Amino acid sequence: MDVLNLLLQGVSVSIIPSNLLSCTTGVLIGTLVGVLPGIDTVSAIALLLPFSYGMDSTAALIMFAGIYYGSKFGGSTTSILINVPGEAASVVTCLDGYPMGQKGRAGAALAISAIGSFIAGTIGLIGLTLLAPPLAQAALAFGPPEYFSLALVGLILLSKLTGTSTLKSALMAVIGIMLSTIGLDSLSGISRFTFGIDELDRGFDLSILAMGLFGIGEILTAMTHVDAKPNIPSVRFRDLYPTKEEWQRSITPMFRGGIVGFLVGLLPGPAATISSFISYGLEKRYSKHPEEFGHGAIEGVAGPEAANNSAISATMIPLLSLGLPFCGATAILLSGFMIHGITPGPSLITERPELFWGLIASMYIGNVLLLVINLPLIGVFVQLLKTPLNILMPLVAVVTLTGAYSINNSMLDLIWVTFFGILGFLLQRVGFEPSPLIIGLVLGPELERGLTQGLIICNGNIWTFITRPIAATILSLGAIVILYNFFTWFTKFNNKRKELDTNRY
Amino acid sequence: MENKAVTETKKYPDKPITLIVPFGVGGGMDLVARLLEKTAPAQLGQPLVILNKPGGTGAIGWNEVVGATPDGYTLGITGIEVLLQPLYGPTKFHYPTALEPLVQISESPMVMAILAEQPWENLDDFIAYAKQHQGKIKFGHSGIGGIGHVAGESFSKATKLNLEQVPFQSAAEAMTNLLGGHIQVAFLTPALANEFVKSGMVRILGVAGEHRLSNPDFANTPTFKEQGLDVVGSSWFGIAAPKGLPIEVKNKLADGFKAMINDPEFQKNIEQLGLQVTYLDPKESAEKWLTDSQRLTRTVQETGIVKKIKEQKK
Amino acid sequence: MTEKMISLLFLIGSLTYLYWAQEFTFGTLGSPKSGFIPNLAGFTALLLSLLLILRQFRSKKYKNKEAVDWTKLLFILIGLVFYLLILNMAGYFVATFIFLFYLFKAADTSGWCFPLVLSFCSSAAFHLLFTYYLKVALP
Repeated sequence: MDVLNLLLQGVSVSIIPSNLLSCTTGVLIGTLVGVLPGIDTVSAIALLLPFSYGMDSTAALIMFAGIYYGSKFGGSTTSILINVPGEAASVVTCLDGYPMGQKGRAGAALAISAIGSFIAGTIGLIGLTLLAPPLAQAALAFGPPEYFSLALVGLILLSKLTGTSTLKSALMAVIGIMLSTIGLDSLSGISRFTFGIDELDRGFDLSILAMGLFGIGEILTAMTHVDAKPNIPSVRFRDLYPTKEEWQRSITPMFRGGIVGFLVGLLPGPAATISSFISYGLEKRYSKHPEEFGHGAIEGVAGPEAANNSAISATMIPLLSLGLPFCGATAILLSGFMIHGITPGPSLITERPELFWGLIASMYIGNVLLLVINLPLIGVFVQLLKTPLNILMPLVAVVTLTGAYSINNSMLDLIWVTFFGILGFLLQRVGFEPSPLIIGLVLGPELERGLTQGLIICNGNIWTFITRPIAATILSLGAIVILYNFFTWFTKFNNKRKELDTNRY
Repeated sequence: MENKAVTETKKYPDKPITLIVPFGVGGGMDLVARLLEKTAPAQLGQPLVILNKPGGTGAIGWNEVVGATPDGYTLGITGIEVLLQPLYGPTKFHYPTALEPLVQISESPMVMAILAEQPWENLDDFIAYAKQHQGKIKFGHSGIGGIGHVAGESFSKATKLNLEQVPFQSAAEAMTNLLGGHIQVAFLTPALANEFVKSGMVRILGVAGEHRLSNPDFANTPTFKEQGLDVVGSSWFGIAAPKGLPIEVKNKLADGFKAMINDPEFQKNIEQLGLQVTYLDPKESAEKWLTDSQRLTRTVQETGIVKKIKEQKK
Repeated sequence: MTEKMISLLFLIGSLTYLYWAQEFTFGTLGSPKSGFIPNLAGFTALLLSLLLILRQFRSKKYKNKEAVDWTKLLFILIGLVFYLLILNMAGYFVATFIFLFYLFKAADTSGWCFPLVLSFCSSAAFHLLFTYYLKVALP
């Protein structure tokens, strides 16, 4: 097959010692970036850009790509160990990964997450190799009305992800939307709810919110337990790796997550984060143990972790085949490309095939490297958990705060992290789940943008808006699912009432 | 006392210089800054430390530059937004008067792009079609109040077409929608459009500059002025310092930057980003700020952009 | 009790948000302006929080969460606020050192020498890591 030949050619390029070295450097840096909360892929690549001028272009790009997907491997580490998402996309891993860690299954969670990331990353890369150009074209067909529909359906379905009270989750989601409106609105050019404070123009950063709600919130909870919490029982080697049962439960979610992540990754926006949420919702729906979700269900780790890794491969598709960056990380990758004199786009595959295929081949190799690096490290990481809480927690607090500061060099961000930390602490105690808030924050802007832009495009005609083929499909599918859910709820409600009535007689 | 001041400026620079980039990491401004960072030690004698302070379309970063002591150790990267922002609403400082330009690095006029598969071969075809099909043409740009928006609105007014604009968050988003056919026209920088013109996916109908572009892919496209429409709008990057710099410091910086910009490797790197080097020294920069500012003030009023932005608040 | 307070907080929050949102034009369905989503979101939040409070008043039950050491919480929060305040003044290293030591003691770490040494080493390590290796500008 032609593609296979090209791929092999690419492998030969990527195995050159200098390229292999930069691949290794890249994935190592990427893992570090992922593990450290706050330092994100964009900053890391930007910082390294000047250093890369002296490198050969292919080597430099391989390194940058390595940092990009390496960070998704590392992001889950802190989520599982200390409930602080190292990367915005790893927020979902906190939901079930951290409880697993608390139960002594941290090693298993880390292992499943690494392996799931590897499998899904590979699936994504295969998709990238075979389907790049047609998928890119398909992605272009999504315009603002389609994004609005996706955001709307997503919000309604995903806000019911966690917790038991739909009302509370819905409220959190709406609050998330409200928070997302604060700041400079690029659609209208004015600042909303900023009261003249320039720093608020930036709006709320997802990472800051996540670090506050999940990270600091958990630190506050852990540090204020009245009864001295016993340390996690010493972990035997057997506990470092997943049991057979955990394996079996994880395989399907990994593949499902891989595919979902890949599809979602094609669309603009924070694809990795959204795909992990979608995967979580899917796994909860299809799981045989849905009540375990939120308390340590292995599927809740396997699926989302797989999803955010294959999303990475998918986000490379618009970048490589069209030259258009759909999210912040691919934008900096694009800049990295351009500084080395390479402009990705339709002509890249034909003009510089050795670069294109070398890059893709290096991504396969990088995935393997990451697995090799991460698995043994699990033992090290789990040891960290044995540190007594009263030493670990303050250190984690400092790392979180420092990381938060480093995102925007802003003291205000730190104030927000603290504020949301306190809020997260209180919310957890009364049964309000923080994750719908994150969903609202992420999807709120998409919703607003899609609506405003879409209506301008459709000349204010709602009917034209919702009868566009793709938008119509998404909306109708969403409506069907919502109605079905409503029906089941209503029937249950009715049955319960009838039960109560008959019990009374 | 005076002796001390003189010796201090003679020693300048004796510690690293902070360069504030008022936009996020990885954006066009940020990359130019980092390219400068590379050659700074050789030409200026001290390393440049890049500090990103994103937010408020540059407001946060520039506020900090204005507020810093004018001793030459805090500088800021500037773009045309420095002139545009104060026009739309109250900003903490009036940047054109609170900042002192040191140098202009590059300038790119906006271009008007359409999908190559559209039947309009040139601007006249397009205008004729638009006149017949009112309401069907939408143009996209990378942000309300941005120079792309301004260029588009001036075009719309000059041709009396009254095209509706669709705001996007970034140039890439606008280009994506253009390629997907959701908008028909987009006003973008040539840097972005370059690759697509080369591959034949996109065609350029006009250049919003004083002269045609030197880039061979765009050399055949006439400017709007050539076609009888007074539509001019360019995006530029430069460096500025808070007002009140001692003269020796200013000169030292100006010379240093001049050397850095004329360095062939720097020029090569800038061009690889898709920008072209258009150097202006402090005096020329200041004049340009003045003329651009006056022209823009007029344009945004005439095209109703200011009114539109003000309408968003009751 | 806390639950009702939180819901009340959200109610007041939504009201305030809505109040501020009135300064933005709503637009029409065919041409939404900047006040569109905020108003809708604010109203929905208002409605939901009202429903929540009503429901909470009707059913009194809520399972008690684990007891919390409120004094400790207060101490930690004071420490946090203090840290944020002195961060800019004293610089990262000094502020972090003091903060870490404070937290270690607040978390009942025994002894004085160990926490001091640990705070010192950790602050130094973080400072090195972030400033030199990652080139992040710290206060």
